[in-house]
Amino acid sequence: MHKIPVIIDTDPGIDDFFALAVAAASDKLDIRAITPVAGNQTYEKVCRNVENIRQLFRMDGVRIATGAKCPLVSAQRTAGNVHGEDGLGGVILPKAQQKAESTYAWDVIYEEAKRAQGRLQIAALGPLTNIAIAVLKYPDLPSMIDKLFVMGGTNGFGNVSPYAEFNIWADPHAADIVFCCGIKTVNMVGLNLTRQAILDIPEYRRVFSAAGDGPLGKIVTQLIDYLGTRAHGLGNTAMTLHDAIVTAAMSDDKLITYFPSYVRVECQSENAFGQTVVFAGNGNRVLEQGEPNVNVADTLDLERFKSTLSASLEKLKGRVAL
Amino acid sequence: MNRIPVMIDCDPGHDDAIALIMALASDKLDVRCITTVAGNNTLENTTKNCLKVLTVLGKEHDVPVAMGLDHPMFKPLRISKSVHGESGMDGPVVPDPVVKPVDMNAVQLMEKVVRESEERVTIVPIGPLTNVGTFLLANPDLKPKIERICLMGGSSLIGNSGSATAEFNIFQDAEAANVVFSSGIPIVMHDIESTRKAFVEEKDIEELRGMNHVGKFVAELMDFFTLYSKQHNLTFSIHDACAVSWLIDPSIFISTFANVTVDIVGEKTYGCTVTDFRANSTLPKNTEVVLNVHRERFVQLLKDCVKQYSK
Repeated sequence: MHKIPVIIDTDPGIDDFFALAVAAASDKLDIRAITPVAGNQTYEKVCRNVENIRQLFRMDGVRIATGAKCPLVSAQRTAGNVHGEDGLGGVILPKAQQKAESTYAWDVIYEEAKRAQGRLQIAALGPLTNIAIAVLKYPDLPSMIDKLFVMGGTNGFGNVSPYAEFNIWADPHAADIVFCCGIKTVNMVGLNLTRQAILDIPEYRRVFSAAGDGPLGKIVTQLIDYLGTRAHGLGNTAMTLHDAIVTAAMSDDKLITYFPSYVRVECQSENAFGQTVVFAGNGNRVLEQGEPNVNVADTLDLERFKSTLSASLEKLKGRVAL
Repeated sequence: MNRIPVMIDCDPGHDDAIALIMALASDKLDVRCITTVAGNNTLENTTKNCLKVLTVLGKEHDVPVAMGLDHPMFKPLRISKSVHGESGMDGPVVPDPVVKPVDMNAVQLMEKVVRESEERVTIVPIGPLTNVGTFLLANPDLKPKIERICLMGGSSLIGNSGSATAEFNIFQDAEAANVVFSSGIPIVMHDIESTRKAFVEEKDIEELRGMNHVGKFVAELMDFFTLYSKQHNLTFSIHDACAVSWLIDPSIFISTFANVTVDIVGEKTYGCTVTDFRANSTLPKNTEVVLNVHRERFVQLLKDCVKQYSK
């Protein structure tokens, strides 16, 4: 069977690290490019993290493009409080020999979409700025993309505000452009889904023991320790790895169930700024509703996700480059 | 003197057509490309109208034309048939153009022109700012190669061609306008209050009609364009021609510098170009706001440009 050609648009980010691990370990995915975008941290930091992770996982031949350094029109806000000053909780990875290329993310996405002849899938794990610029610049691009997975939004409550999730809130205009651009399959994996994978720290340690006690095991342990300390600081004992669920879902149709809906992003309201408004058909249709444009992720097979995570780390543990 | 390299982004449009006529007549300007955008009418029609104008001028092979975006970044397109008619340029009867746009989109053509240019390039947007905003988002590294953005749009005082608080071009795509005004590139804003002062009278139209085939074309454009003005008791203003005229001879205009931001949130003020004229404002003065026009000299420049086509 042919591997699926994919692009990963990302802002590492601790959960992005695990998302890239799952993708790198998969024998079903052919990663054509990684496109960094400012989000969890400022652009320079997330780009450096992408470069280091590519080398760590020996993702030779995977392009890294130059992405957007700030949102389309709203003010930039990062999530340093979650992911640390450097975006990876202070965990130091070996410094990459190779830097990103100067070609812009939107141009690489278009080139790779053409090359993949209708089969390209994109995982968007940060704000949707790069994807929005791509569909604005290339109006023929949406019809060339097979599937877009978005980690973002929520059908329920948020994390940066009562109703908004960070990635969408960080660039709501970009998100609304992408949701409405005509890509035939947009899978929105929101907080309502990723919270189904909330595990406590001991449970994560069990899942991640597959990474062994070599170099990968040490890095993974440091990341979990950081997240555990941070969660504890917020009075929590558990957490989830949002982005990793998305790359796991790309190669596994059975992982998540979805329902189609009309979804828009609130860009004006002060209190609901960045909310993904899911018109979920409860019979109360005062607002004008469009055709379904987004598949909203609904239920997760948690055991399946845990075994994918373990298996991915198991597979990578002998492969990391230090 | 070196000619100023310019890229015109337009949505013809009667006044766009006259702006193109002036730009292509002037030996001060070097029109490197023309890009079309949806605005006064659909992209298909504004492109067709643009190529018609070039064909009337006999310059259809001289300047590359590329099609841009067919709808605003965010909102659905709202076209203005009451001002420009069904075709977007009703009035003169001109055969359909034979030439076609180039085989790349507006943003790609602008990138090519700017990358290949040794000098910095001036952008002249006279429609909604969708193409120019996308160009800037997609090419942050090219911003230093843009000399300035000299645009027709906005309203520093009261608005009211798009809504009670906003001018049509900005109102059509306020998000794109927001990108342009926050780009850090120097902006000259020919707002609707100033361009209303750039009007011709019946006798000017008749003088142009007798001048040559291009003058006749201009007069026929104005015959239709003035219908709306007469109906609403407005002057016969040629808004878009101001942005081109300023580049040919800035001394025709009086301006001041101010901070301008574009509102994209307000229910009543979406697309308002919020212009801070306060003397004690500490905001960066990112925009040269045109306040007044020496009307007779503007009209004379129009006539001089049209005369060039007699040669």
